[in-house]
Order: sequence, then C-alpha cells, then structure tokens
Amino acid sequence: MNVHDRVVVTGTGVVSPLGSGVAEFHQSLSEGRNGISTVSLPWDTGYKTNRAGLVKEFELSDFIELGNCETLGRTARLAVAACQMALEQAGFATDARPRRLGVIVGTAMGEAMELERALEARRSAEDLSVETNKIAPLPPPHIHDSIARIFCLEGPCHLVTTTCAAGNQAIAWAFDLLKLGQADAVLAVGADTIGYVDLLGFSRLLLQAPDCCQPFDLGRKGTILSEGAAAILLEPLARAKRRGVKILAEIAGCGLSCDAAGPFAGTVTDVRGLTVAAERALRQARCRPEHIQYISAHGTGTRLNDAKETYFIKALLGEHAYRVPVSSIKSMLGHCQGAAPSLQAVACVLSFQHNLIYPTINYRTPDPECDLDYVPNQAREWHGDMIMSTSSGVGGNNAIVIFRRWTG
Amino acid sequence: MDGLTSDVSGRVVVTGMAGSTCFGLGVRQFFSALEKGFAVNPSTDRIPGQQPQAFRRFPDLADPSPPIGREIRPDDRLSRQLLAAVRQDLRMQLGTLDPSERANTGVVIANWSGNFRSYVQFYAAARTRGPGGVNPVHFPPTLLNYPTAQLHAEFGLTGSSATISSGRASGLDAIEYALMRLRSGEDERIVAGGIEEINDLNMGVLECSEILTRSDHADRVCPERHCSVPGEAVGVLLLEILSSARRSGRAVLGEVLGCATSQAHANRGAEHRQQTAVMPIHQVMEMAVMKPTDVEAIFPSASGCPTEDALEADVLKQVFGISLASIPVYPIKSLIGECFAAAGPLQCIAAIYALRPSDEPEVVEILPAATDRNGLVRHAKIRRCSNALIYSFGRDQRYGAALIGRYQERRPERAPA
Repeated sequence: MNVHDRVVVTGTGVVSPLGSGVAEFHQSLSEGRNGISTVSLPWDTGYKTNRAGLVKEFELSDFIELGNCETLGRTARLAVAACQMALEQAGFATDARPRRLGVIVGTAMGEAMELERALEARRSAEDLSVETNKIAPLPPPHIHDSIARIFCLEGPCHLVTTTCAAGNQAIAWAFDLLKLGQADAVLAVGADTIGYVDLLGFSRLLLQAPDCCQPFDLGRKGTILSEGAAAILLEPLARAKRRGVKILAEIAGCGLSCDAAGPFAGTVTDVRGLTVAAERALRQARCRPEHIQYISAHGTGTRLNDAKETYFIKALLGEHAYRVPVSSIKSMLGHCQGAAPSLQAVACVLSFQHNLIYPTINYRTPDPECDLDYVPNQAREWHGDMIMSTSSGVGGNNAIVIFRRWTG
Repeated sequence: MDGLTSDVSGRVVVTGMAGSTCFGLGVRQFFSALEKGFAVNPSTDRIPGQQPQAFRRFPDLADPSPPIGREIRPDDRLSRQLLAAVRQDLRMQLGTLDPSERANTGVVIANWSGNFRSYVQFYAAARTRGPGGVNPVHFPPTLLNYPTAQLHAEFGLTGSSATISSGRASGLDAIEYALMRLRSGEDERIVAGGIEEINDLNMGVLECSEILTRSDHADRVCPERHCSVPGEAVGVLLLEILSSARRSGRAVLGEVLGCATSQAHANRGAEHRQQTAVMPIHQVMEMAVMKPTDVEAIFPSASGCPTEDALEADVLKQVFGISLASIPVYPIKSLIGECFAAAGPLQCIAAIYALRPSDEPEVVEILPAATDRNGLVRHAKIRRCSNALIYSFGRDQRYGAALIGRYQERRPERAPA
C-alpha cells in the first residue's frame, strides 16, 4: 500500500559535454550546440579520427571541497559533482538533510576508465599485485558507496547496471521507494565514462558514427559515445510542501520491461517490450497515450533504434503521434550510456521551467521510415504538461518515465 | 501501488529455485551436500610459487538440459551457468508460462564484480591484436547486465528487468527489490537472485583485505576457522505473488515473510554501524509479525573471516539475547565459499531446504553441535524448521536480512502504522 501518492523533483545537477550546471546545460541545449568533438585517445579504435563527447576541464574541487579524492574514479567524481548541485538546489545544506536520504545510481560501464588503467598497468608491469587503493574504484558499487560516504547518506543506497536504460531505472527505483515510504528523499543519479572496450565494441558492431550523431535522419550512421552524469533529487510532495522548497516537476509514472530479444538483436517492429513499459508508466500516471505532449526520445542515431522507436511511438499514440514533438538530445550530447536518461530527465525538468523543448540537431534529410516531428535543429517554445522520456538499453532493458508539469 | 494486479495481500511465495555450486549443477546437488552435513573436501588449486588455495568453483557444464524456446549460447561463463541452472531447475515453471504470463514475469539478478573475465579478455585481445582482431560478438558479454538479458531472451520474459550491483551482498538487495516490484503489482513473478564467479577483481579485493585463507583445509566447519574461501555460484528464486501461484497451481515451497537491507557508508562510528547492522533484522521481524524467540534457525553470513564473524555474532547477540543459544546457526559459506552476490540467495535456498515437509525422514545428526568462539551454536546438519532468518553482514558496511517461513493459509496481520 502506498504511503505517499505523489513524488516531485526538487533538485537537479548535471555534468556533461555541454557544460556543468543546469544553467549552462540549458543554454547549450537551447542554442543547439554540439558537445561532440575530435578527441585523442590512447588506444587504436580503427577510426582515423575519434569523435566523442567528453566533459571538459572538470575538477571536482570546483563543486565540492573534499580532503582527498584520489581514490575516487572518474565516474564517481562526475556523479558526486552532479549530486552536490542537486542537493544545493533542493536546499539540503549539510545539517538540513533528512535522515533517510538515499541514492540510486544507474550506470552502464561503472568505472570503465579506472578499470582499463589498472589493466594497462598490469600489461606493462612484471608485478601483478594490485594495491588496495587502485582496486577500490574498480567494482561498480564504488560509485554509490562514495556518494553515500561523502554526503553521509543513511537511506537506501543501490546501483543498477541496465546499460543505457540505467538512469531511468534509477528514477523508477527511487519513485517506488518514496511511494512506499521507505525513504525521505532519494537522489536518482546516472553516471558513465568512456572506456576502450565500450568504444571498440560499438565501433566493431558498426554502431559508432564517424562524425556526428544524427537521430532520425536518413543519413544517420550511428551514435557517438560520451560521458557525463546527472542527478535529480526526488521527495514526496507532502514533504516538499512542508519544506517550502521550489518544486520543479512531478514524476507521474514509471514503467520497466525487457525486450527479451538479446543484445543488439530485435527488429524494427518488435516493440512489445517498449509497449509494456509505456503501458505501465501510463497506468501509474493515470493518463492515456493522447495526454503525452512531448517525447524525449532515446534517439541514439543508429539505424535500427531510431526506426524502432518511431514505430513504437506510432503504435502507442496512433494518429496523435503526428501531433507530438519528439526530440533527441543525444544529437548534441552524444550517447552518455547509463547517464543518458538522467540527462534527459534534467532536460525534461528544464523544458517545463523554460517552456521550451530542445532540438534534434544535425537533422538534414527526412527518413520515410522516421516521419514524425523531431523538432529539427532549433529549439521550440512549448507549454505542454506531460513528457514521456524513453530509454532502451543493450540487452533489451526498457525504462520509461513520465514527467508532469508542476502547477501547484 | 497502481499496478496491474488486484492482489493487495502483499504476500510473496517461493515457487521455484535454481542453483549451481561447487557441488554441481542444480539445487538437488546443493541439497545433497546439505544432507551430508558440513564436512567437505574442496578442490584445491595450486598457483606456482604460492600456497595451495582452496576454491569453490563452478561445476563443468556438459549442458545436459536443452534450451527452452530460443537457443541461447552465451559466450561467457556466468551466463552459461545461470542459464544451465535455470533450465535444470525452473524449466517446468518458466517453460509453461503463456504469453500474458511471460509479459508479467521479470528478472532481477545481482552480481558484484560483473562480467570481469569477459571484459578483461576483450580488452586484452583488443590491445594485443588491434581493433580488427577482435570479434564484436564478444562485446555484449562484457556488459554488466548480459546474464540477465540472456535469461530474458531464453524464456521470452518481458517484465521488469534489473541487474543490481549494490555491494558484495547484493543478492538480498535483488530479493528486496523483487519484493518491492511484486508488491507494487507491476509483475506477477520475478526470477530473483545472484551470480558470481571467481575473477581477478574479487580475488584482488579479498587479497587486499587480507581475509583469504592460506590453508587448504579451511573448509571444515569448526570452532576455529581461518578465513574466507573464494567461491562462485548461481542462486535464484522464483518469487510469485500469492494469487498468481494459486491460479497456476504451482507448488509453494515457502513464503518470503520479509526482506530488508541497510548501509552504514556515512561512517558515523562503531555504534551507528552496529545499529545499522541490526536494523534489517528488526525490520523483517516486524514485517513478519514475529519476535526474536519465534525464529527457529539462522543462516548467517559467516564468511570465515574472524573479525567479520565476531562482529556478526555481536549483531545476532544484540537481537536475540540469551535465546541465541537455543537457535541453530548454519554457516553455508563453509560449503560454498564466499560467493558474494550469490551467497544471500543460496542462504535462502538452504532455508527452503530447512522447511522441507514433515513426512520426509529427519536427518540424523552424526557430528555433535559445537559452540564456536563467538558463542554461536553451529550444527553439522540442517534440522527441519518452520521459519529461518537469513542474514548478510558485509565488510563493505552493507547488511541485509530475510525471513522465510513455511506457507500458512493465515498469517498475523501487521498493525497499521
């Protein structure tokens, strides 16, 4: 039985290739900036030039004062910075935090960069022993353990690794915990960094584009991997009202499912998994498909995903699909893997605040198979109330979150 | 919650289990080991230049059970073991689901160290042979959720899906999460549990924590155990809401009366850690409307590390007081080794074994019970009981508890808050 009926967003934080902090993030998205750049990588990916979305000039000390953060991996650092911003916006100064403040982290690859540093060191070293502080950041739990330790969180603390749907899965888990009264507030975080295995895997599977990410475009050649982190702070509506904090948006419903097709498998028309997730989210939100007024799409820029997602939207919304704008911020950010849905979540909240939906950039040639309104190249004024944010992970995980505008 | 089911009782039962341990593929092999009691001879590996190391390794798979539905032949060891175990033990329950039931069946699997071996192999191949020398088919197994995805694909299950890596004892986290999803009405049944294989990552962590045994006879249950023995295993439960189990007519093996976890990463001192460690036990007893004196058996974490065992014993003493002396304690990690995320679910499976029906002959105890240096009474064989507490005490300051009991038509209701 539910203890709380409604869950709201009161804090947001973001560290991304388009900037850190929600103000800079919003500015970059609304201007349609491209956060992807040519990067020099220490490894050979087989490409002549390497394109990726990296968080530039990031120093954790710019966000939070920590004594010694040498044992923190890069993914954990990005996540900690995003959490700090979200906690600040929510008005949770150190002594004002609720006792049962928890964190759920979604990630695809964990501390891939640190892991590969250790593997590389081992390749070139004769001594195979590994120092304790070098292995500390390697297992995935290091990320949420670090967040809980740094911010002294005593609530539920978990990590879910459902690849590119992980961020939305973290939101869904936090939503469930709050509704059941098992936490006072929860940080739902998505964080990921890029590793060689990741880049090479996508490249060898011909899923990595050589230059830019062009979701839904006829000429799309794949996605571009990126790194980033985003956090949203969720709490029950009653608690937020009692605190008098500004409410940014409401989480209306969440739905989870799996395609059961296997990694990188499935066909364009096999949308049963996505449909199950959408129906669950709509049921929780107590709304019908035609109430959805904007879709923040998974939109990776791969041939199969974009066509499949379009097919799913049309199957779900029917004729209404042609009246609903759909856009993918991955066109600007690249694919931040497990963090991508969390970045989408922050973007959805910003859409409500600024009455704006962000564009799908690099959109040049319409694809007959993808024939919806993708908000091409330019942000658009928008005053809707319901946003559906979709995400699908490698392995068939689907996680959909419905956001509702907070009107008081 | 606002889910699809109208079952508001919140009761979740176990209608199946699957496992793969050092004793072989299948829960039956594990039960046979439990029947023999806590006296085993583990495999002993010798690494050149080092002391002999006791491991509890996966069984070799000859893949005796044919796949059900789509043929899935995963590349990695973890997925192969998981699928083989589920095919062996859950083919009746999962193979007979109709399409609407498969749409409401989820999978929640915990795994602490991930598919580390697959990741390392892919990385090493790429760095040695270059990008062109790597088969892209080997990339998906490097992903943390790969085994879960394989299970979904093999049985066509399209319900909720999660791969959890919350900590070394993530197995109970997975069961707690599954309970939450089932009680919310979003799924009718969930395959929940944990998997773990021995790899350089978890071995490295154990080495650096200095809790690995250096003795090849540290497997024995005795009052003076040494340290942890690495293990690898699969342990999963088929959890179902009661109304669904009744509808399907599936045999109910036990009821999950409660599951709770906690963490003490905030580092507020020893007293706070102790209280946080105790918290899940109190929570599950409250969920089950039970008192400490009602608990009939305990399946503790009991990793074998002297410091951890002593701290865990302190927690149990705080909860149970003098009644602890009369509650048998069964440390199954002395059999299966420290298998991290798989341990909690296997402790639950052992608890189900303890709930075996009364018309089966009672196991005769050959070895006498012994009181260890922490004051816990360890029995050599698992006696029949009507409920059992499963406890997970993590060196990483994560704790978990579950209460499993024999199914009864009527259960005391929890008083409203």
